[in-house]
Amino acid sequence: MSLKQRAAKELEIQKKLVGLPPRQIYPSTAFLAIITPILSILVALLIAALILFVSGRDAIFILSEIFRTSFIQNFAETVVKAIPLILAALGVALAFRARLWNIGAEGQFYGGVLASTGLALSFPNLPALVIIPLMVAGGLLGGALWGLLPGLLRAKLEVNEIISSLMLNYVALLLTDYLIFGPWKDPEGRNFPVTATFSDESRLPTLVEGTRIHFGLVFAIVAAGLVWLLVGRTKWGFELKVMGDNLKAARYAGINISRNIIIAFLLSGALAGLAGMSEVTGVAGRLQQNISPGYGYTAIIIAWLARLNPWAIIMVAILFGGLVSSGFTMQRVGVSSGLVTLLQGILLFCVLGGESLYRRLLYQAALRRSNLTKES
Amino acid sequence: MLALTQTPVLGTPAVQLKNITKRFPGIVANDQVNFEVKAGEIHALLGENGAGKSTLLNILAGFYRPDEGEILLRDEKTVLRGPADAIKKGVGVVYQHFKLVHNQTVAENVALAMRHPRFFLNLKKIEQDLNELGERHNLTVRAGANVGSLSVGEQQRAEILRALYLGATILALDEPTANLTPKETEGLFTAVRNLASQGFAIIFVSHKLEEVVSLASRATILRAGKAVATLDLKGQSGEKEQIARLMIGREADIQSGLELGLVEPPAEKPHPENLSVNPHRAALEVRDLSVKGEVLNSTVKSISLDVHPGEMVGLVGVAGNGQRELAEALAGLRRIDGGTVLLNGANLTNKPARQIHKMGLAFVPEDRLGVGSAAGLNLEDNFLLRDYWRPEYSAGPFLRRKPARQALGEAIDQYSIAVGDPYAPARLLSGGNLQKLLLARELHNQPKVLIVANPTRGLDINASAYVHNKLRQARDQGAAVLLILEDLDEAFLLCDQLLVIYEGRLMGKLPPTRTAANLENIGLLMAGSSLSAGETH
Repeated sequence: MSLKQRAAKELEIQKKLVGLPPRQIYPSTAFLAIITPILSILVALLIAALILFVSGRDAIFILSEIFRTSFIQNFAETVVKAIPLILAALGVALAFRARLWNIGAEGQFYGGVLASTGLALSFPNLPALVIIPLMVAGGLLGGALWGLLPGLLRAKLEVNEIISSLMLNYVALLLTDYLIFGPWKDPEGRNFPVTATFSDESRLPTLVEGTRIHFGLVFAIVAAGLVWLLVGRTKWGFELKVMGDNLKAARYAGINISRNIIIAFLLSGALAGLAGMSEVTGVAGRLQQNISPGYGYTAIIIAWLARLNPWAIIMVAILFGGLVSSGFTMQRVGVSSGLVTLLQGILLFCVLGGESLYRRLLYQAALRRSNLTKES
Repeated sequence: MLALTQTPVLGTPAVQLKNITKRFPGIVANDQVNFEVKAGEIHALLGENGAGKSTLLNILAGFYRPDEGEILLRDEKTVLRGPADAIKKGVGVVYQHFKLVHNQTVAENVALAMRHPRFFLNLKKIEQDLNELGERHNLTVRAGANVGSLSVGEQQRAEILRALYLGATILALDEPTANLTPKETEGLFTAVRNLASQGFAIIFVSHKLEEVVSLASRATILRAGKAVATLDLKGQSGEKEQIARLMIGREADIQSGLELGLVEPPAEKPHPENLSVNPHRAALEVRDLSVKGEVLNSTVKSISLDVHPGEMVGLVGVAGNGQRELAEALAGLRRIDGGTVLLNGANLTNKPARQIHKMGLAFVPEDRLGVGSAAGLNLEDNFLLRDYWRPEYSAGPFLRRKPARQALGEAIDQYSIAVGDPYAPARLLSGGNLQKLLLARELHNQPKVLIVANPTRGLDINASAYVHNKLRQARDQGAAVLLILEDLDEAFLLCDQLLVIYEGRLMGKLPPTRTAANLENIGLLMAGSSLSAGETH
C-alpha cells in the first residue's frame, strides 16, 4: 500500500470515527463578516459628513474631534457610557435569538432604575455588602418585571411584542417622572425633580481610580460570558435558535414555545434592568430626569451591528459609548448634540442595509459552494 | 372581453421557445432549451423533479425572463414583461398549487385579474359569462360560489376558466392530476382534448407516464436543464419505456421502473417472518378520533384505525380532506377534540409532542422546509432538532456537539446524503437529500410507529426509490408505518393496506391491488360515495 493510499484510508477511518470534519471557516466568508459592519459604519460616517458639509460645517474637523476626545482623551468616559449599553444590548440580543423584538430595553432599564432607587432610598443605613447585592437583585427583578409584560402578552395572546414593549417604555418614563416630581423628590433639593443623593454605602464602587468607571463593567463582562454560554452552548440556547429560525419547526421539535418566550423576555429585561441599576448607583448616585439618553434604543442598534455576538457587543458598545459621550464635544465645536441622535439613526440604516446585503452574499457563497461540491 | 374571438389555425406554431437559457446562482436551470407547441396539440412536458420544467413554465408565465434565447408567440417574437403581460398575450398557466383567493367568489377572482373595466365591475355579467364558458368547455363551476367552498377539482376548473376568460389560447397545466380523484382526472382529460380540438395549444406538465401517453400527441423531455428529445406519441408499445429512458438518462431498471409505473408491483408483498412484537396487537390504535379542521371539510370526524407492527398502511385521498390534521394530531402537534390514540397500549392522546416522540412515534411532515426542518440552520442543528434533549446529546443544561456530529456523520454515510457543506443552511439541500436527512433523524431511534406524509413529493426518481426502500426497511424491522398519500401509484407500490379518507371520514379499507374494479372503488370512495356492503374488504 502506497503512502498516499494509506493516508487516504486513514482519513476515511478518521472521518468514520469522528463523524464530520470540524467546521470549516471560509476565508471569503470570514472576511465578509468583518468587512460588512466596518463598511456600514464608514458609509454612515460619510453620510454624516455630507450632512455637516451641506450645512456649512467643517465635517472633517468635527468628526476627527469627536474621535479624538471620545477614544483618546476621554476614553474612560466612553467606557462608562458603554457599560449600560453592553448590558442592555446583551438583553436585546438574547431575545432576538428567538426573533423576539424587545424594543423595550429602555423601559426595562427604568424598571431596574426604579427598583434600585427605591431600595437605596428606603435603606440608607445598610452596609454596602447588604444593600448592593439587594440592589442588584432589585435591578434584575425590576427589569425582568418590565420585560415580563410584553413576554406574557406575546406568549399567551400573540400580541405583537414590538408594540407592547415599545409602549411600556413610555409608561416607565412617566412613572419615573411622577416619582421624582412627587413622592421621591428630595425635600432639600430646592424643588428640582431629583431624589436625594444615595448614601455612600449604596453607591456601586469605582473600579478604576480617578475615573468614573464603576463595578458595572464587571457585571457587563460577566453577563457577556454568561449570555455567550447560554446561547451558544446550552439546550435552551439551541431552542431559542430554532425558534428564531422557524416557529413551526420549534413546535415540531417539542419546544415549549410560550414558556421560552416568557423566559427570554424575563432575562432580556433583567439585563436591561441591571444596566439601569448600575447606571443610577454607579454614575449618578441619585435619580434624576432623563437618566438614560436612550440607552435602550441604542442597545438595539448595537445588538444588530454586533450580529448578536456577545463579545462583539462589547466592542460595538464601546464605539457607541464614544458617540454618546461626544455630546459635550459637539457643543464645544458648536454643533447641536442632536447630531448624536442623527448619527445613530444613519448608523442603524446603514447597518441594517449592510446586514441584509451580507446575508445575501453569504447565502450565495454557500449556494455556490454546495453546488461545487455536488459537481465534483 | 369574452375569450377567443379568432380561432387559431390548427397545426400552426402557438409557442416557440428558442435556445432558452436561465441561470440561477450555481445552477443552469434551463440550458439552450427548444420547445414548440402547435395550436390544437396537447404537448407533454416531462422530466424529473429538478429537470427544469418549473423554470420553463415560469418563463412562459412571465415570472422569469430568460437570460438567453427568444420567445415566439404565434410566430411573433415577444418579450414577456411580467405575468400580466403574458396573460395579455394569451398565455394561461394553471399551477399545481392554485393561485386563487379563497374568500372571494370565482367571478371575483377572475375580475381581480382583469385590466378592464378599470372602475365599475359587473360581477353578475362575469358570473354569467363564466357559467356559459364553463358549459361550452365541459368545465362547469359555480361562478358565484366562494373559492374556499369548492372542491379541488372545481378550483382547478375555475383556474382554467379564468385563463380562458382572460383570453388564453395557450394553456399550460402544471401537474394537473396530482390532486384529483380518478374520475375528476377523466373529466379533465375530456375537457382538455375538447379544448385542443378547438385550436387551443395545451402544455401538459406531468411525470406520470401513463397519463402522458394516453393524453398527449407529442412530448418534450427535459433532463438536467436540457431538452433531450421531442417525441411524437402514436400510442405504440414501448413509448413509456423510451420516455423513461430519456428522463433518467439510462435504461430503467426494476427499481426505477417501479417508481415510474412501468412495472407492476408484485401483488404479494414479502413479509417479515419473525416479529418481536405480537402481531395481533396493533402498535398504533386510533379510536373515534376527532380533530378540528384547518379548512373546509378537513375536520377529522371520528376516525378509527389500526396499524400493526411490520405493516404499511396508506391513507389515500384528495388533499385537504383531513389527512394533515389527522397526522399532526397523532404527532401531538394539534389538539385532539375527541377519541383516543394508543401506542402499544399506552395512551398518547393530547400528550406533548416531545413525549409522543419519546414514546416511539416518529413523524415526517409533508412540508419539509416549513415544518420538518429549521431550514436556516445547518444540517447538524437539523439533525438534532427532535433529539437534542436526549441524554446522549446533553450534559446537564449543556448541549454536547461531538456525539451529535458523529451521529450526523454516520447518517450522512449511511443514507448517502449528498452534502456540500454540512454547516450551510439546510435549505440549500435538494429535496431528496433533505428528505433523507429527515428520515435519518426520525428513524435514528428505531420508532415503533412511523408516520410520513407524502414522502416523495418533489423528489426525483432515484431519491424516491431510496426513500421507498428506507420505508420498507423500517416496516420490515417491525415499525408500524402509516403513510399519508395523495399519489395512488405510490400507494399501490408501497402499502399493504389502503384506507380512503374523504371529508375527514374513513370511507373504507381496500387492498392495494391495481385491478380496474379496485381502482374504480377507490375512486368512488375518494369522491365521497360509499360502496355497497360486501364490496369492501
